[in-house]
Amino acid sequence: MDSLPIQVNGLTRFYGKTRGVDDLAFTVERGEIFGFLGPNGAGKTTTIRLLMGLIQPTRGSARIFGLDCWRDATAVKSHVGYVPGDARLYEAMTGAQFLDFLAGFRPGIDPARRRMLVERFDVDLSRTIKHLSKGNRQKLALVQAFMHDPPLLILDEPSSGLDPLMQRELLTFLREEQARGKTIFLSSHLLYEVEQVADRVGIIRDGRLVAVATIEELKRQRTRRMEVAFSMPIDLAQLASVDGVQVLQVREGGRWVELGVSDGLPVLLRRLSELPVVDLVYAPPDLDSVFMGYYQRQEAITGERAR
Amino acid sequence: MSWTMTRKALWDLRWTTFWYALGLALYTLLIAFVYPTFREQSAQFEEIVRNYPEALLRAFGIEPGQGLSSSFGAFMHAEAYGFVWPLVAAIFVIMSGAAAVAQEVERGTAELWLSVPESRPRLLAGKLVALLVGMLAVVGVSVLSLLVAAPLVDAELPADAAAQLGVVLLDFLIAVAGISVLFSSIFSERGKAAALAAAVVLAMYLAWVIAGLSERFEWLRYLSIFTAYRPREALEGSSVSWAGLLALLAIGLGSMLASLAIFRRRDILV
Repeated sequence: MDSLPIQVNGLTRFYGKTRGVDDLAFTVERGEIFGFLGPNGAGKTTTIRLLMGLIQPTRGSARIFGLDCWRDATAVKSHVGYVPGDARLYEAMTGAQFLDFLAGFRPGIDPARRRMLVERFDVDLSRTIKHLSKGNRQKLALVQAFMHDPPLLILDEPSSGLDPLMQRELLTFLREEQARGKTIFLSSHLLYEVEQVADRVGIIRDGRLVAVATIEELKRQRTRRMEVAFSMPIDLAQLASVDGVQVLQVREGGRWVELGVSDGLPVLLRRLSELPVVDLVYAPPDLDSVFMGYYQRQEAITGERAR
Repeated sequence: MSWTMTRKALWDLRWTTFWYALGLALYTLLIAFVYPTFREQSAQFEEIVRNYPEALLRAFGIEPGQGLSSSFGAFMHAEAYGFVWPLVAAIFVIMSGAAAVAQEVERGTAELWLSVPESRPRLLAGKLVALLVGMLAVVGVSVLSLLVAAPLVDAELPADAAAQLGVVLLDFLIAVAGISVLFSSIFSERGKAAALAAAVVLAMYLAWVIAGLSERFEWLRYLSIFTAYRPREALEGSSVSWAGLLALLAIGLGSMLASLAIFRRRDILV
């Protein structure tokens, strides 16, 4: 297993004429947590299905530890723990029966590890799955993916349905697994989740990979929205002249302004303190802020070229 | 083949198999206990049957020339194994066979067992073995109930005749199972797979009835699994048509192999 945990090259999948993903290319290094970010419907799940050999690529290839994800799908899966997005489990089974069933396909699972996971994620194994909440089902899906201690974890929205405490516990666990040398491919639409654990991030939108960047680059390049209301119209130049700040929208005759803030927050705050501010909303660093940053950069590059 | 999948599939099928096996066995016993009454009044029944339209008799698996023989085997064939038993057992097999892949894709549960290090054909083969065990149980319980009932109603049913009946019934169900699993491996909804499998089996049944009614359409018999389904020969102790049974087996196993090949290549879009 000297090859890269994940190597994707020109990966394309169309559903009839509809594009699932188009010409994806990225690699995931050993021991890395790679965040795969994108809004719903961007192509994250299609990519994961291609990695898991559930669907065949139209063009290109995906490889896991050097094995082709479609042709060598069976061998690939012995190296992977997988949590599907919106995991659907067998309703009539108890949690214990469900884990036993999946463990049956992977001989040699350490019972102590399974016990540790069940305790850590606080999973009730005695109840039938149909009586479990969404969060408890998700915890069961997590345990089944981790219990055979695979070198690569492919997780599609793994924190979906978990309460905030358990979400934090999951991220802590992922960091610990990384410290043990595991590689993690973490697909999510939640920027704050990915930012907390990932080393690098691939950003996908409309089936195309927009960028692959380190978390530091990502933080630098995002543009967060800020809405400011004033008691009287202001001179916009005072804000627009701050480096890293863009005026996106002006309403109410200059008494309400929407800004895109990618840098220069201390300078901006000083300027604002001198203005008659009555209200201020600073948007959390969500996925939109990342996309806005990338689009603004893209526009800037296109503009330079046009000149 | 995946034994883990076989065990799981057997667990899933346990109650369906139990109720169908019980229902068909009780039906067999019920009909068998009517036999003494029939035997006493066979002349009157013969008269009534003679007046039935040929098409109706054929539709219920009765050869018009043969009428209703007063033998136990012929009676059980006419009242149970010629029509009702294969109809009910086919429903069991179509519903269970159609569930094998299509239902798991429809419900999204396939995604989990397709993430294990086991090939798709081996996983599906595991399910097929479980279905085979279920069919064996349904057939076995019915044949056993017939063996128990025969001496109680003063009728004769040699063990080898019962064994041959078992082979005929199982062979027929294997053919139906093959067709159902084939559709299940193609489609992603159990309802669609079951409906198409049922339509094909029904079309084959109609082809067989029509082939018997007119020489012009006799060729239709070669398109129907019902041509090879001849439980009466087995029930009456005469030798069964092994060529027909082999044809049923070939259709069943051939369809199952095709379903393994299709399932291996298909996209799983849950």
